[in-house]
Amino acid sequence: MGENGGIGKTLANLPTWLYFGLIIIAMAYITLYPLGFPIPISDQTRYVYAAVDVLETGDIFFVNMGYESGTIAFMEPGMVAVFRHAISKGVKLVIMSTAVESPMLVGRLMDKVKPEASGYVYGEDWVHLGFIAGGEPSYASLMGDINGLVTEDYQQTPTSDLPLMAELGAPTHEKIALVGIWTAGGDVIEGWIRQAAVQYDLPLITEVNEMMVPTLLPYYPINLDGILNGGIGAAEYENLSGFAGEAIKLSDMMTMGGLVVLIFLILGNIGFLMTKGGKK
Amino acid sequence: MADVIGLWISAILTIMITTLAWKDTPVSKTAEHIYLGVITANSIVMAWGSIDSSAIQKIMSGQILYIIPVILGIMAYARYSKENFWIYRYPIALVVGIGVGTAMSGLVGGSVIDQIKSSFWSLNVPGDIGASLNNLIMVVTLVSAMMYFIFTIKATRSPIAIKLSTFGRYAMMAAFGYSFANTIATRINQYAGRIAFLMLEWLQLG
Repeated sequence: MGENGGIGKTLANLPTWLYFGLIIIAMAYITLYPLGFPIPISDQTRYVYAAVDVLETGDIFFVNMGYESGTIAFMEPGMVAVFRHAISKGVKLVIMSTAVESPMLVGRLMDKVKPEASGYVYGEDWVHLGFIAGGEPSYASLMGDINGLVTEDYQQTPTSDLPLMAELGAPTHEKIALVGIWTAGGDVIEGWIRQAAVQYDLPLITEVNEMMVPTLLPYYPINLDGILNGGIGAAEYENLSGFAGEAIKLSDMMTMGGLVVLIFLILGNIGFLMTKGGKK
Repeated sequence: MADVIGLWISAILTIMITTLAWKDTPVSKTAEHIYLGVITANSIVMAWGSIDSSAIQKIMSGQILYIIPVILGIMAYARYSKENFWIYRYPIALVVGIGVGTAMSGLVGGSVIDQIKSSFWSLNVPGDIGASLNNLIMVVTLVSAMMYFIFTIKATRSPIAIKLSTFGRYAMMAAFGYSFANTIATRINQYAGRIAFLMLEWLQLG
């Protein structure tokens, strides 16, 4: 251990449990004693906010909820904040899912959004269509004639009994003011870019997990009006919109977790340079 | 009561799967298998619901043409038979054809023309030196990264081409680093949600 190679080898091969253990301890500590790290707001988030803020009472916001339980920690707070903002402006919501788990998560999402507190009535002001299979061809059909593709909502109520669905009619894209995609899969967004943004010039906003953002940046801002960058983006949106929620609470944990990873990256690289890198 | 039971199951499964950080154990595997089982069951229910609403109900109401996608769907299962494997190719060909055809309608506009348009940056943004510098970096990075993949130019052994190509390689490495950092951030955020759940909802600390 006294030699450089010994220390370097130790640093380059720190046990996994130590790495995870310290991350858990750091995040648990910061949950109890938040430090309130600053949350600077990115342009990508500002553009999402602007796309929602420009909507008027009665406009229809079409939402594809494509996240699953694994990403709920940062997808849900972003969605709650955007929905609260949209509802504060009297915007109607049409929610569908492209992930089989998502429909189960809509209930807990709307429990947090509380649309009924703003006088929203299911079927008139918001609908939940559940899982829609088919990928990109189904997005094309939805934009063409939503009632031709979807005959019942998630609770198996015929769409003909839902006034909002009658309002959508055909061609559906003419009635939609904004499309929002919450997903962990890039192919979903690319499909929507082609079928909504390129075909009909509809404004498109999205929240994806952080690792998907680099693949979407080439589409921003021409095809994608704004991107919420996972948990950080959700916290920024909560901060910007004034609808403070879970993302702001999580932001300190995310920052602290990132700092611990950074420390380990530095230690690992020092170890590498003292061993293999040093020999070169 | 159901909420409390759900809370405890959720907390126990979170702790069980966290043991994976130490090593793969029967405890972590049990949590993993429970999750997979639940998701598989839900997927089957969702898939059946989708078939029921988009085909079965329509067939029952007299729209007999909807039997065609049902037959095509059944044909897809021929892949599990060595003798009848060829049957499986027809529904797959149709699905791929429809998918590609639909995607093509917006592909040129979204993935080619708009992206080329978005790569035209002004090198002189009046009154904003930062933006001008940023755009210059974007242009040099774009050109050099493209240069890295043009092997015929590199083969000329032009020093400028080689230097640009090398810069392009470093620029791409920086982009990969950004992607890697985002991947780490995603994983941390996912686990932050579970820690927050354990501390705030389950243990009700803080």
